[in-house]
This record gives sequence, structure tokens and C-alpha cells, in this order.
Amino acid sequence: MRKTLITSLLLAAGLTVGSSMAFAGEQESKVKDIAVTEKELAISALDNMSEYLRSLDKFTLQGNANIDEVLANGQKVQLSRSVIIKADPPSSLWAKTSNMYSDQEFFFDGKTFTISTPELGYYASFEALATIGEVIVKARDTFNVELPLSDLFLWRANSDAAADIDEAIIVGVDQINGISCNQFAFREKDVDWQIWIQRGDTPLPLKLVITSKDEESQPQYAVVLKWNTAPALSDQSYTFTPADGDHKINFEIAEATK
Amino acid sequence: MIIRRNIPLKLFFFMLSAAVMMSFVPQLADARRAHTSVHRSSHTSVHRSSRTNVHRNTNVNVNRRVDVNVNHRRGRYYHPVATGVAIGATAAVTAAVIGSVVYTLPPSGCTTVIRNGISYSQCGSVWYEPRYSGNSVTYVVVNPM
Repeated sequence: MRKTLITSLLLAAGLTVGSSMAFAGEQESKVKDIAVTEKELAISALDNMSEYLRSLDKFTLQGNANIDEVLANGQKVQLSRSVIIKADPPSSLWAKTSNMYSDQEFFFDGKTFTISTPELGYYASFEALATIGEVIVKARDTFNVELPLSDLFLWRANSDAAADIDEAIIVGVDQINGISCNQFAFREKDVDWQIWIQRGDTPLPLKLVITSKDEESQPQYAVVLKWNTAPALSDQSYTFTPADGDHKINFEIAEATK
Repeated sequence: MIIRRNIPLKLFFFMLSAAVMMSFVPQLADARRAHTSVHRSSHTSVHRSSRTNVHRNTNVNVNRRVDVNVNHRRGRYYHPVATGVAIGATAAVTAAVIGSVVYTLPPSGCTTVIRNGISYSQCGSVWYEPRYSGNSVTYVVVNPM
């Protein structure tokens, strides 16, 4: 009786280990094969999305962002920010970010870029005959000014951005604001990031999460987007007009370009 | 006796099915959950915002900005985080060292003065030039105009 029990247990244990090892081996080789394809698939989904974004005549979008901040004691706190963007590519953009403490507006009409803080009555401008993508890069590299959701204008099909991606996986299907999307996760040197792309004929990014790995506590930025790809923008001004009492001030030049 | 005889058999089938099931979900065994408990330690001493874009920035200083939420000179609300940051900077203000930078002006007693088309804030005997330091307005102590 006892012998039967022990034999059965040993047999079962042997099978368990054996089958696990066999399956694990099989899985490993499968995973390797899939990994190559999966990264390619994820990047091609990104390219597809970029191409679609670039094909849009005009668009507006509204985003709700959560931004982690790391305090001096290492504690993470999360701040909320809302973003509105109105874009008439290739070279007209208006954007506004708002949080509890401050609003900020961005204007670009193809010639002049302006950042404005209405609450303080200050604004600063620089000239640039450029596209939206080019002015975003100039604002960032020359003046340290970050435009909200700048990635939307910097993703390009087959761009070198793909070269920075070390790993990419397809997480699966998810739903954002009731819209079905594919979720992808990418790994780069300093950041891990995820994107949710709408399934179907309109591959719009609906959510973006960025995890900063160069910070010990890995603060995250997460934004959920609502799009309008056929907006009426006839009344929208992309040229900044100062209000009474607004004062023009200078930019501090970024260290790297001094 | 019949029941007891079946126990090893049942055990065998249970373990067999468990083995098969586990082999189909190896990723679950490998998955790591994010921390869901508040009990953890961290020793980061840098106060900063998380990165808000994935496109690599050529400027190494851009993510070292102290705080983007300090624009509340005529502000609506008190920002404890920003105020905490400003304390060190405000200490420098007292000395009014030319070239020192503050994130907020004294709460009262400041007027805007325009000289040569440039906007200054005069707070008592101390003059500040506001400027955009990244997305934030900061104030540099300058010589009185």
C-alpha cells in the first residue's frame, strides 16, 4: 500500500519535473523566435501609428496626465496636469497645459514660437521658420522648453527612434475610454515606456506611460488622450497676441548651447 | 480500503494536471508585480519631475530642473512642494547677491518696471529680471536700473 503511494508520488514528481523541463525548453526556443517577430511587430505598429498621425490634416486632442515627482527625501508624489492641443500641420500649433497652480500656453504659427504664462503676465518668443516637429526640437534643445505631448510630433516612420528601442513586446488588448486598443511596451536605456494604440483603421495613441529608470525610484508619467481628427479650427489663432499688462521676457539659454 | 487505494491515483492525476497547466503558463511564474505596499525605502536626493517624453534629449540639464510648478507669484494656490524648493533659494535673496536666482518673488512690495524694453520686478532695493528657465519663470537678481 505504502509502496504504491510512494511509487505514485515519485512517478508524479518525475513527470512534473520532466514535463516542466521539456515544456520549458520548448518554450524557450519558441520565445526566442517570437521575440524577434514581436519586437518587429511592435515597432511596425509604432510606424503605422506615426504614419497615420502624419496623414492627419488637422487634429485636436485633450489629455489628462499624472506626473510623479520625487521629493528630496525620496518620496514620490503625483501631480495632475491637463493638456489641450490644436494642431494644423505642418506648422501651426496651439497648446495649453493646466494644473492647480499654473496655466501655460504655447503658440506657433510657422514663424514665431511663444510660450506664455497668463497668470504671471509673462511671455517669451523666438523666431523659427520651421515645422511643428522642428520647433519642438529647437525649443527643447536651445531653451529647455518642453512642449506637452511632444512625442506625437516626433514619431516618424522608420525614424532613428526605433534604434533606441532595446526591447519591445506586445502586452495585449486593452480598453481606454471604451475604445479597444493594442498595448505595447518598450525598453530603452533610460526609460521603459508603454503605448496603447487604437485598433482598426485609425491607429491613434490613446495612452502613454513613461517610466524613468535613471531615477532610483522610477517616477512615472501617464497620460490618457481623447482625439478629434476632424475639428473645425477656423477660429483658432496660432499667433500670440499679448494682453494688456503682458510683459515680454527673455529665455535663459540652455547650458549645452551657451 | 477502496477509497484509500484511490488516494495515490488521485494525487498522481492532480499533480500531472498541475504539471501540464504550469507548463502552459511559464510567464506567470516569471512575472514580477510592482510594489503594492508602502513599506519600502528610497534614498533619492534629487527633486525632479519624471520624463514626459520618450524622445531623447541632447541636453543633459533639461531633466534637472527643480520644479515646473512654481509660477504662482499672483498664484491661486499654495504649493508646498514648490515652496519647499524655494526656501534655499530665498535665503540667497536676503543677501541679494547679483546673479542669484529665485523661483518666487516676495509676496508683496514688488512693482514691475520696464527699462529699455525689458521687464524688471523691483522689490524694495532689490531688482529682479524675470525669465523663462525652461518652462518655469525664474527671477535673477540684477543691479538696480
